[in-house]
Amino acid sequence: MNDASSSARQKAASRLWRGLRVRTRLLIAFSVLLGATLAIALVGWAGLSNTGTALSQFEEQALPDISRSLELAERTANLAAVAPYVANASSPFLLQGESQNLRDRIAKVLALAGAIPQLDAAAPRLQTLLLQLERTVNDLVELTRQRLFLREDLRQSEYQLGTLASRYGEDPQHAPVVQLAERLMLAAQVNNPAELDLLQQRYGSALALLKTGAYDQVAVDQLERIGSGEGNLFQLRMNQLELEQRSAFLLASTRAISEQLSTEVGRFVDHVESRIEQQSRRVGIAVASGKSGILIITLLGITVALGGIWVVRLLARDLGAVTGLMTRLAAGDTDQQTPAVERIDEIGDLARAFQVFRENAVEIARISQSLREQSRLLETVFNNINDGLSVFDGEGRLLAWNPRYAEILSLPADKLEPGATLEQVQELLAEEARDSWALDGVALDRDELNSLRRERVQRFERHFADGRIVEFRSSPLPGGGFVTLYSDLTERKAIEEQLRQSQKMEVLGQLTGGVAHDFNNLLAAIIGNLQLLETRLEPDSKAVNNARRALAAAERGGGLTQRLLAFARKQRLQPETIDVDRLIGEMLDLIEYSVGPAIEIDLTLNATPWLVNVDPGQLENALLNLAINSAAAMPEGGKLRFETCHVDNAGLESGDEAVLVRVQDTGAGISETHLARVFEPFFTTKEVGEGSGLGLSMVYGFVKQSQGDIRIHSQLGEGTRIDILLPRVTDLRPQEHDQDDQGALPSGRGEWVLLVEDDQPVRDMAEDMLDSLGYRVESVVSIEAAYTALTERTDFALVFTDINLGTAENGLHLARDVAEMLPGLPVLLTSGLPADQLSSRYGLPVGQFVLAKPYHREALARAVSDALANTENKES
Amino acid sequence: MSARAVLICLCSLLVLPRLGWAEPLSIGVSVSDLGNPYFQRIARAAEQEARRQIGDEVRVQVMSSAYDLERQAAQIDRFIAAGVDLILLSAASYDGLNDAIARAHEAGIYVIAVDVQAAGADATVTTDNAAAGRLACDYLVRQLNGSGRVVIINGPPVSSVLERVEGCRNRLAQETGIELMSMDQNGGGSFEGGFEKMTHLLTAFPQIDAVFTINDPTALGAEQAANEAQRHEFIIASVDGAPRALQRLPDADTLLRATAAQFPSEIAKRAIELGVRLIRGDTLERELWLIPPELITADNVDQFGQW
Repeated sequence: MNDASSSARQKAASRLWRGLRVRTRLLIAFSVLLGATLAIALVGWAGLSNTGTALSQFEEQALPDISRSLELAERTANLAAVAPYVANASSPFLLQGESQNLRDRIAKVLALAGAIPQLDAAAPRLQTLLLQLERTVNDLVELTRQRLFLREDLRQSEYQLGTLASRYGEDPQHAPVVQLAERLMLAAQVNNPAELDLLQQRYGSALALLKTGAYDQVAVDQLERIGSGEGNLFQLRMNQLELEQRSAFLLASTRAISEQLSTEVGRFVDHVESRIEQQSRRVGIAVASGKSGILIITLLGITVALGGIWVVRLLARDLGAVTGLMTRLAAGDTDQQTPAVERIDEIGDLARAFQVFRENAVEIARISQSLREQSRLLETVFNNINDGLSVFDGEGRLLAWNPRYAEILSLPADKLEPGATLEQVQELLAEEARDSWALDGVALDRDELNSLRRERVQRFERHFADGRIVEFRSSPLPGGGFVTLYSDLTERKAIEEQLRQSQKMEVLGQLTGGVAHDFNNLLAAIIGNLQLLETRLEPDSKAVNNARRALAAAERGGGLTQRLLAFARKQRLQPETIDVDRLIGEMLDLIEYSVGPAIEIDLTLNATPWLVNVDPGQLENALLNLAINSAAAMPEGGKLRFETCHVDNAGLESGDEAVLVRVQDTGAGISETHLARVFEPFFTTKEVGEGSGLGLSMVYGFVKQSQGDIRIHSQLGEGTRIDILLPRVTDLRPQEHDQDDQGALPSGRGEWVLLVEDDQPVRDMAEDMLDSLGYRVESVVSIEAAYTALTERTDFALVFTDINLGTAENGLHLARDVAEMLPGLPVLLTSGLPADQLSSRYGLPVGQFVLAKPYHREALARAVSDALANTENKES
Repeated sequence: MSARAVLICLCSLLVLPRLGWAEPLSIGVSVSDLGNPYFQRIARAAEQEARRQIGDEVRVQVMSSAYDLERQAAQIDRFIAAGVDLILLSAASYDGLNDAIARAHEAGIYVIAVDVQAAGADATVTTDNAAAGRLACDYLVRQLNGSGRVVIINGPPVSSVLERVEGCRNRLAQETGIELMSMDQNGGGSFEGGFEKMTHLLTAFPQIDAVFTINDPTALGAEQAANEAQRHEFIIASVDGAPRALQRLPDADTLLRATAAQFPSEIAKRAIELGVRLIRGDTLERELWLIPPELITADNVDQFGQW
């Protein structure tokens, strides 16, 4: 519970902290640091001040106390030492000095004691003792002084006695006087009061004796004065002894007082010491507390500083991240996550601002990229369009142009410069190109045209000496001036010409195709009837010969129609997957025979193992045609070369991989004007009657029908090269040619055949052929009749029908119905159209066998027999 | 006292009546210290000379001031009260007794300063103290061959002491090799003072070559201290010619080698003579009368008698 609330509080605090601005956070950190520094300074200041105060207190109080106490101790000790000198002073003069000395010392000690305020507390008796000492010393001094004076008085007495003794010393009469004087002198030296008393008594008796004797009165008087007068010698001596005793007492007193003083001073010194100790302890405590305060605040400051460093490091990291992003953005890396976006401080602001900036930058980059691309595109277009382009301003001065402009107009590029006027530019044009022509061929006035160009769209042409025609398309610009496109129409016109040519070829193809088709039907009827006629006429008769010649002519006509159909790409092809090299190799002897011995044939065959899917017979035919053409171009002999190879970039509809078959001769070549028309049917350079003019067009049709391409290159006098490209097939294996059975024709055994043919000659011819082959035939002309026949009779073994019956219902419908209604009844289809047209026009299923018209009797016999056999096989 | 002295006294007595003194003359002598034989000698010589010149009837009072001004002033007053005619004053201080001397003069008493000068005295008879100091220190310089360390034990600041020290220093100053190490120790002119101050100096200076003391008691005290301290590397010269010093000079182990002797008898005689002249109404040709000292060493001590 407690933990939860405290952690919640921490989270709240952390949220509060994160919520603060960086400036606030740093300000807080710096404020705390500043506060800590100030606190340290204050604590340090206070501590130093305290220490200084304590020190100065120490200096002011303790040191003087120490020195005073020391001085006091010394001086008090000295007092006692000086006292004996005073007591023993031998002369008043010395006494004066010593006593003055001692008094000075006492005064000094007193002054010293007065100067120590704490002294009363620490040593309360000191003052009293000092005063007592002073009194004692004064007493002592006075006593000593008295003693000295007494001594001096004694000396005076002794001097008088000495004088007396010396005066009467040699006078025997006065011997008692001298004796008494000497006795008195002795008394002056006595130390014992009792003895002194005894001497005084003896003196008294002696003096009394002297008075009675006849002695010099003066001397006696003097002796009496000295011995018993006022201030007599005994009295002086007694006083002196008393004073000595008193002096000893005073000395002892001074010593005792001095000792007590020492004790007192010692106490005071102890007091001072303890005070100093206290003070030093106080200072120590103050210093220690100051130190610990500084330590605590320093630690706090360090903590805050570390925190600040951490915060700054975080900030620097985030700033660094944003900076890194900016750097990477500047380097082009726009796909990156912006950190710290969720922060709400300055870093967050920066990050968000950066995000906006980045989006803008990305947008700008994108726009600039797109502009660049557009500009590049425009520039590329401007520089690479096939048309020339120029821009003139409203005053007719050249603003911009593309290289093609100068190229098309044959202007010297180095003389074109921005600002050139329209007139100056036109001066640069060739003489014949300065005239403008309307599209309908009317000449235009140049100045009028120049002014019109600024107002509305103008189209006109100019013709150059080299035959080039350039179309000008001029449009006025919104801001004045005009822009002009220059198109070289020469090529377009050539292409238009080519188009026209190919359209012509197409039309020719359709035309010839249609004609050949009908012609084919006619020929089929003729050939069929001639064949029937031949079988019925007497052999070796003239009639047979006539019929045979007619048949031959008809067959030549059939060949002609076949070639026409081939050009029209409407021949029926039977494509097979073949190896071209093998095919050429097999027909080599045929080619050699066709071209004659003067022509040298060279083979370079590299197509294997690539295969193609073409009608091999037609390919042979085409190659033979080309060989014969080449041989015709080389009447004096030459070299004919067949070459095959792989091509990877053929550009055919079916793909790029193709086999190239090249036929090259060293013949006369074909002129350029003829070259465009060589594939047209009936176009020939040969004399009339020498060539049909269908050879190359047949080859053209065959190649095109086989999804290939044919190209011709020729140079007059150097020979012709024809390249045939055939699309490569990959999957299939080359098929072996089935050798046709050369045996007897299969014939029927009286089976009924339902013949459906709208064309009467063909129907009759077919009826006859089937009849001659041993089949019985019922002929109908339409689908309806066929259905009727099929419902009336059930003994038909085969239905033989033309596909195109001239009605909506065709042979294929019939075949389908028969397959539904009478399964097992075979249907043989026939048509004059090629398989691809049948499938595109009638939806002929692939693989469906169709007997091609016109057909020979043998082909019909085999087809009918096969159809019947297939049905039998299926049934069995 | 010899017969000759008696004769002299008688002669004086013969002269005195001629002076017409109605009463016998009275003389007061106040010396500094009767414990000092020097002053005893002055007193006694003055008394003898007075008897010789004036006659036996002359009264001589001898007192000792013990160097105490008050006491001395009181003694002068007692002399005045006693009606003395002349006072020989060995003053405790040069100008401490002006009032007392003035009172004496008022009372018609002549005051002759002896041994030391006193302000206001009619005449002064004293040893040539500067010469005494010079003699003693000349002896020391000669003994040291002009180089060595010398200390002076000084005395009370009275003129005689000051002059002796000055005379000594003047002589020492003539020698560049002499180093005067101390001259401010005041031994008070006594044996005890000499003992104490010498002890002090011995402690302060490990090597001393010569000592000058301002009088013989000081010198003897200094020698005693040296003996106690077992220090015998120096010699002592002094001023006084006191009997005990003269006794000491011939001794083999003495440190005291010379003393510039004063002649207290001469001083006293001259003082009495001058006083008598004043009393007779003479005018003195000068106030200061100097008695030349003589240097006494072991060599010539025999030629000098006791004071």
